[in-house]
Amino acid sequence: MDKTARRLVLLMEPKANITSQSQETDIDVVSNEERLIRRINSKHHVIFDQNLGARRLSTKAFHASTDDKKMSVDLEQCIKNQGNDPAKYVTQPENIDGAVVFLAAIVRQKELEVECAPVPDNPFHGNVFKHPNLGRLNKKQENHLLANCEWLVAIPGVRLR
Amino acid sequence: MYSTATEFKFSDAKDHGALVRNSTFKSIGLPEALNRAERSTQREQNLQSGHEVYSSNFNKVYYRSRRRYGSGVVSLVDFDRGWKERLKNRFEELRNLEDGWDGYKGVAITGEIEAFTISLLSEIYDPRVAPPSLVPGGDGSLQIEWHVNDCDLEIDVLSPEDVFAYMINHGSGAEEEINIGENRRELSVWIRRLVA
Repeated sequence: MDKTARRLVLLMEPKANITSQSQETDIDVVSNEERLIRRINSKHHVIFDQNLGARRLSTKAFHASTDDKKMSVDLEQCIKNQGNDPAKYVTQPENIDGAVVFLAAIVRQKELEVECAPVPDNPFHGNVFKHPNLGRLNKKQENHLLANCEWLVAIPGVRLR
Repeated sequence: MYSTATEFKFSDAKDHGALVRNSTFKSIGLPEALNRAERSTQREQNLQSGHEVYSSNFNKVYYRSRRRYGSGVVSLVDFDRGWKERLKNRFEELRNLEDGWDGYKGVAITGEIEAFTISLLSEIYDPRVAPPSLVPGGDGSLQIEWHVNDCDLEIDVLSPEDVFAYMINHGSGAEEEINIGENRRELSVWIRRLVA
């Protein structure tokens, strides 16, 4: 079974089965070339940088989404495989007006890992987390993601960095 | 509009955690224009986000958090008008964030994070520095940020006992990250570096 097929099988299975997969399987499923999407709420993720004289993304936009210390992302290729437009899909919530993308390979450069983690309202959901020991993403890791991301859905008048 | 005293200051105690636990109320000034209906809505929202309204008196509302750190009395009285307005308005927004505000499972900032942040700011406050940006995390944490005088200073409040500060001077390239619990004085030094 090729990687894409295995990923689709995982996406169709209940989450309990996915979490029972080994870490090795998760790493194997999300390839380095996979683009990961992080949704942006401009009201709360954008700050004014007086050094730049411009509005830009805060590093906090790359912080853990929940108490499990994992940062939620959307897997772009999975969204496309189901015939959806990634830009439209991730901005469906009314408070989300932007999105950035970065490669899984970028994540792995800083001792972070990525996993498929479908949730009931988002079958294309994934997580970025500290590997091998779970913990918060530190500032250097957040800075690394900010420095290496690009817009999927740009917010007018807002710089990435 | 604001209470007349900051009734706990972390500089007054060796164990700031114990001080927060022992304090009794948390008060947050509300705009005079806030009518009863709005107060009711505010109360519901705060109950959902972990605050419990203890009592209200004129324009001052007391909250008691149901979370581990209990509650406390904090106010914005130590700040100048510009800081007060910015902090008051921003905390109202952050307190009322809806679930899923970040497009995932994000929640509003917690009561103890808000109380701790105000107290920390009152301790390191320097009127020569503009008020900071306050950026929430989806997990209820809060980041305090300044980007001025060729420096970036970010204080990430994950919980009252888990606070990290990061500073980079773009001119020299110097980069530092410290745990605030052990380096509170260092933070005041960093704040002074923001003064042009």
